Amino acid sequence: MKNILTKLTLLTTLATLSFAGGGGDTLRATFTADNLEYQTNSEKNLYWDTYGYIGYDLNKLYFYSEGEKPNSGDASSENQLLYSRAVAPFWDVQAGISYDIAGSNNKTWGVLALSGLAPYFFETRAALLFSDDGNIGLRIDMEYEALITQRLILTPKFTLDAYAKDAPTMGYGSGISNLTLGARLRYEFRRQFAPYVGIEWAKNFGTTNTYSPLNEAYATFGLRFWF
Amino acid sequence: MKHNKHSLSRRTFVKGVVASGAMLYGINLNASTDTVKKRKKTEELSGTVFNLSIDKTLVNVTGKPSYATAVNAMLQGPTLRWREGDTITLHVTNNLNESASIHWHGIILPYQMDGVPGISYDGIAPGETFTYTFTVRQSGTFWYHSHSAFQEQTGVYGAIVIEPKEKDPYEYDKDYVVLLSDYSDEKPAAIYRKLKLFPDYYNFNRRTVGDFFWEVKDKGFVEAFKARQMWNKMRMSDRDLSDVTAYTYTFLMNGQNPATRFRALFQNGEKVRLRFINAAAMTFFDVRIPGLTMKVVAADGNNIQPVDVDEFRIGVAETYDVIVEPENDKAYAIFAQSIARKGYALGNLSTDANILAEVPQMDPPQALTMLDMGMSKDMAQMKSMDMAKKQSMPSLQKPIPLTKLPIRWDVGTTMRAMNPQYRLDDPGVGLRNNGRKVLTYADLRSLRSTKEDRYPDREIVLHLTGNMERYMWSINGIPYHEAAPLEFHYGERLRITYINDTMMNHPMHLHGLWSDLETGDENHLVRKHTIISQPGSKISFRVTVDAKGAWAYHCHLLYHMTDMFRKVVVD
Ligand SMILES: [Cu+2]
Repeated sequence: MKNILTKLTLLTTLATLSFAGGGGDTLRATFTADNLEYQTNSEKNLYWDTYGYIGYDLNKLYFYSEGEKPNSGDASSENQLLYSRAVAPFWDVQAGISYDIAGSNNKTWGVLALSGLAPYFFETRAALLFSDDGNIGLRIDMEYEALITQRLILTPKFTLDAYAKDAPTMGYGSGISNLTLGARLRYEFRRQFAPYVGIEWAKNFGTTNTYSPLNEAYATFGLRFWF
Repeated sequence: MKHNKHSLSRRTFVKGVVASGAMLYGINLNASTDTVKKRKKTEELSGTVFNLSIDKTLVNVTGKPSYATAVNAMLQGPTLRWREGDTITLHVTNNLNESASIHWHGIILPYQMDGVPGISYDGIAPGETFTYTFTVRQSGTFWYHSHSAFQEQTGVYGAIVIEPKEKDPYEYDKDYVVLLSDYSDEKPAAIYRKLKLFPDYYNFNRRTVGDFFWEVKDKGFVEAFKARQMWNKMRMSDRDLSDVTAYTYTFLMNGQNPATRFRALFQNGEKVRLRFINAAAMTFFDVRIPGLTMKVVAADGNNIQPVDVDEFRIGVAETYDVIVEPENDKAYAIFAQSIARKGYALGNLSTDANILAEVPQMDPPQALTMLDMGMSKDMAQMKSMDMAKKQSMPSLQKPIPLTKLPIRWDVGTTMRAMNPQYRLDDPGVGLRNNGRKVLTYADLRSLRSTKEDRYPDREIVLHLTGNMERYMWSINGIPYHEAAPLEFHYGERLRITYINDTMMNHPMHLHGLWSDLETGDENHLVRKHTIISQPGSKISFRVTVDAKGAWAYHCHLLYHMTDMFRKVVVD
């Protein structure tokens, strides 16, 4: 995979070879697994949070996949495919679809998101979701990177989900459905390869909490990598 | 002083420590085809007809074999010695399997001979030979390099020394080229991709939580927070000194890494001229020879009024000639530390090649200041420099018309210098108040008088712009591929002002025409081909538009080059 991506980059560079210098706005593709981890909660989840893109400086095609697989039980995930366009120095507007899976059930949304770097270096993403049954969802992710050393990095993370209506088959209900606060400490052996340990607290609210009660703090062990 | 011992191994961050001299010039590689050459020792070629080839060449710079693109299989390429007034013919054969080129940096010549693909010619196709021919109308220290893709970083560069028609005004007994460069085993396209994905990839000098707590301890929470506030709000780093660092680069002096060390010899009592050339792809160097005062006698190939310094910064593509008078039987380190202070190029000046000087300690990296962000706030802090500044602040005696150029402030620009200042006597980040006499642009005075030079007819302002978060670079917010050519009119005298709206130094290079830098002394404007524009600053120079054709105009940092670029058309 890594080779294909590098080759793709080299190929598009060739197009500009006869130019007065290298580079320019080259096509690039990349994949990041921000989290690939084992969570020591009661469900014994395997959790992933990944994204990737192919594109140029201003226009990109993004995918996001976040989900979990309990030790006993079916996987649930949120998967998005979006066109992303830079609209401000630090901000991209993204539009596309989300395909959520909860066991044998699924749900498709239209997505409109804002993604970028907020002042004070908060990596931020807010996505509005619209479904044809009139439900509206909001998913906010925020992350900060605090360098303990040049390679030892602490990442606090904040996630909030909210919905306008109940979606019983998917397991989420109206109002604020879930809040997750975590912090992970990784060591970058290389920029692209960093194992980590972390702690996290997750709580469900409202109807979501009646569907599946959750109020738990737990430890995580995982790997962050990209190429 | 150490005798024939490498004292470097504990500095593991300095690459190129393991390569021995034996490894430098010959190793066997199983995958040798006849199109791959083995590295040869750099030679000097002189005369009027030159045969050069660009070859895929097996080298070992870092302790690992890798492929360079080398001229005549030499890394660095052969030093060309020309004579002022001669007509030179250069047959350049491209043995690579991609288009290549050679550009004669700083040489005033017909534009068809300038060697920039897409502007002055088509480049040299694989297997083809292009013949350059032109008459040499200048003398001094220059260099050549590829202007195709990223070939410069992988080895297509070398020195040019032009002997003057009339005797040089300065006395010296020995004459050495000291060419600085940066080499990586990583493919340039891979480096560029990493910068696009993660601009901080090579920066291991980022701010830590600890740094903040030290500041809190130092000046209290509120003050420390305030000091960070501006940077945090703007989402900018004051530790962003160099995009690509010693993390991947090995710094070379005349093709030698710090372990094998370039060695210049002198005999007792001799004066030595050192011709410093920064042929690096991405690295600014701060040069000193501990124990010696350097008399700077030329800048970018042109003689200047001599100035004695302990240290000078050399931007990518600049050249400085210095004369030193080493003491009998001593050894000196020629020490060129990178601006990011994570590595250095190293040479040795001694009477005996086996006597090696002690390697100096690198300075700690300094952070950028509000001044480098183009904020006026720090002007108060810089009061000590203010008096000198006033004297060197260039100003026009009478106003000239300003030609407005298209400008765009959008996703490609993260910063605007709100109050950019002329900072000619500012040695720049990392060199401020270090206790040494550091060369600044305010010290440069041309040897020739510029009293009679024409007053400028008009002015243009170029904003050097970028978005470090997305690793985008541009001029006036417009990248090269979207920009109309700049129009210069044949016969006019132009004043150009840079405003640097980024946090980085940009060594700006105008092809084909001289840039007369305003240093504050109208009578001795210094003639350069490459001008460093400091972060958040303003700087002006004048150009006599005396050569027709199409010229390249760009930042000389390899990974800024394509976008921070303009085609200039002179008609
Ligand atoms: Cu630049």
